[in-house]
Amino acid sequence: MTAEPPDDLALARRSAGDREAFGVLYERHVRRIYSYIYYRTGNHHDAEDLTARVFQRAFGHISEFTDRGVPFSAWLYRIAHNLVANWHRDRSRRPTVSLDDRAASGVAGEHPEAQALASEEKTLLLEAVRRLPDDRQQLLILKFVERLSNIEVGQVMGRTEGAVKSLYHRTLTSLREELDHLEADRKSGDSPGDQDGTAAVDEGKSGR
Amino acid sequence: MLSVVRSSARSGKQLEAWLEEALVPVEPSSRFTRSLRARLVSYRGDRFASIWMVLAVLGTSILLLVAISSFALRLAMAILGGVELLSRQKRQRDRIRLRPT
Repeated sequence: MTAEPPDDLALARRSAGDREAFGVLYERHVRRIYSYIYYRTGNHHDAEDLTARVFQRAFGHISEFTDRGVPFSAWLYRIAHNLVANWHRDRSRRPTVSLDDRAASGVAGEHPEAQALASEEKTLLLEAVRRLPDDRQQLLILKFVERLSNIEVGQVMGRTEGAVKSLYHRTLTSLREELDHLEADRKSGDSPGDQDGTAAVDEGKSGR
Repeated sequence: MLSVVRSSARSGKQLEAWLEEALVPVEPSSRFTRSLRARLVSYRGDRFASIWMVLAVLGTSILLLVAISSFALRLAMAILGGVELLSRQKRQRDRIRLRPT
């Protein structure tokens, strides 16, 4: 009979004096934190940098972690959320940098033209998502990337299930509006840096 | 599927389907996850430094202080030596000048 693997809370309690315990927590959560940060920042380089900072900060403050009835991952997401918000704030003080790192798109074997079109549309969608306020971006990433239920999303975001549902409907409405704006900008050719297919990221609008 | 992006009539269901297709987990590189884990396992965070680290820092500081003091002392002695040399030369010149012929 094999023993049950220790849950996150037990590992978190041990991590203050046992680095290997934190290593197990790291292995369990690094991919989801990375995914979350990737979609919030738009490129792998910053995602790696911020992910590293999340876990370094988490490890440095692991002794302060207390069980408040929410998953350990919620605490990590909170750290990630704050670091990403600081990152957006710092970037808004500097010139815009074009997004040259696109999410993987298309399926191997697809026609290159179809792949390019799918990639462009995916870029459009991701750009629209990144123009949403922080909490709405977080909601979409948790629901669609992490496949969390409304209750689980609420635990991570510190909201009730009803509040999450309400926010979700408002988020879809906002997303639709952002897509309309982006399409209008591209048609008029006013969107900066979009002529060659790259998407401008964070012109101070993200991190609202 | 993604051509629904450009449709002006995006229903909630269509948007959700599109989001499901576009927002997929992104894997970090294995090189990154391995190196970060290695750093974390040896990282000591904000914990108070060990006694050995304190002793090492203290010892290095003392040695540095001694080295700097020694250099300053040598510099001062060199300057004083130069001043003494110049004053001795001046005294010799004065003695020669005042020697009765």
